Amino acid sequence: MTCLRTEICLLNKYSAAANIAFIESKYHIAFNIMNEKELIAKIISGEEQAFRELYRVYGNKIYNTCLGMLQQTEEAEDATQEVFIEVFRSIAAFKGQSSLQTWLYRIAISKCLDVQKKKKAAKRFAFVKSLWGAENELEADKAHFDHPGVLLENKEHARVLFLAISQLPKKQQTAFTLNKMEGLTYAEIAEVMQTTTSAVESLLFRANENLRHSLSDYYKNNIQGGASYLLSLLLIF
Amino acid sequence: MKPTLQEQIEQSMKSLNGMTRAEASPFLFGKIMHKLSRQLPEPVYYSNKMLLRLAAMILFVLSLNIITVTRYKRNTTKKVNEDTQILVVTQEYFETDNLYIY
Repeated sequence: MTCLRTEICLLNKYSAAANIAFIESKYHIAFNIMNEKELIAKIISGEEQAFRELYRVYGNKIYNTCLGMLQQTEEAEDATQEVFIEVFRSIAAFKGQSSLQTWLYRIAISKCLDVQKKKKAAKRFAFVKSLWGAENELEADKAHFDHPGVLLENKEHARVLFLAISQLPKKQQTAFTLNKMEGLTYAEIAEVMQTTTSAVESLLFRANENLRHSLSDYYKNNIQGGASYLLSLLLIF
Repeated sequence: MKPTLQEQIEQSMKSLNGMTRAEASPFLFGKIMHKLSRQLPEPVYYSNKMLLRLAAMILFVLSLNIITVTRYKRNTTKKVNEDTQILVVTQEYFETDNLYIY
């Protein structure tokens, strides 16, 4: 009660909207810390409401991470489903050595990497089949991905950036996605990836370098492509 | 004016700034629950009495098996001994291949 009164005093002091957000986030964090163990215990005992609460808190975070890694809505939804099914099955084995959030992100990343591996294998198999003259045609390359959360004015550039992100090595891609799309700190990423903060720093540095390199290649080719297209048009007329 | 290569790269690198988190479909939780209910079989509970009866039955069948196997083994060894005795006696009588010499 006293706590509520102090919050009301705070509301009078500062602007309302900012404080509501502050209080919400404060209570939310407090809820997470206080009830994480309780929540886990309830999920283990099979309470659907507790599982629903877990999904309410982490569902969108996991979905957004999967979407960033897989760059396809359906695949991201499937991976999110797999993550929560895995969580439900193995939450009894969760020892609490890391936070629940870290554990969830870790499962999500490993699921996404599995999906990527399977996709790569399927692509390779289709390529071999096409060499042997089988009827299957080669899978079309990934269409440009539009993330629903990107600002409208940045959509076109983001599309190119996502294409470059998909070509990054897996560790760099993971670190970049967790940092840029989920806003995790270096320490949090290090915990998820089970590595050191300095390793994450170097991964992100290399990811940025590689992205700049592939973006430069992309835009150079596009400019050259556009120029050659113009030249061919001039020659025709 | 067309942006330079460097400007385009910078714009792309900054394109994720200010992005918001993508929200999952509102039906996703329902799908998860459906998948879970399909994958997990309904738990089956047995009473202690029933478990005891089952254990006793298994023990009874097992002991019957053991008794049958040991009896069968004993019988076969006896039969083998009898056979060897008959063989020894016949060998004493028919030491040579010549059937006319006794």
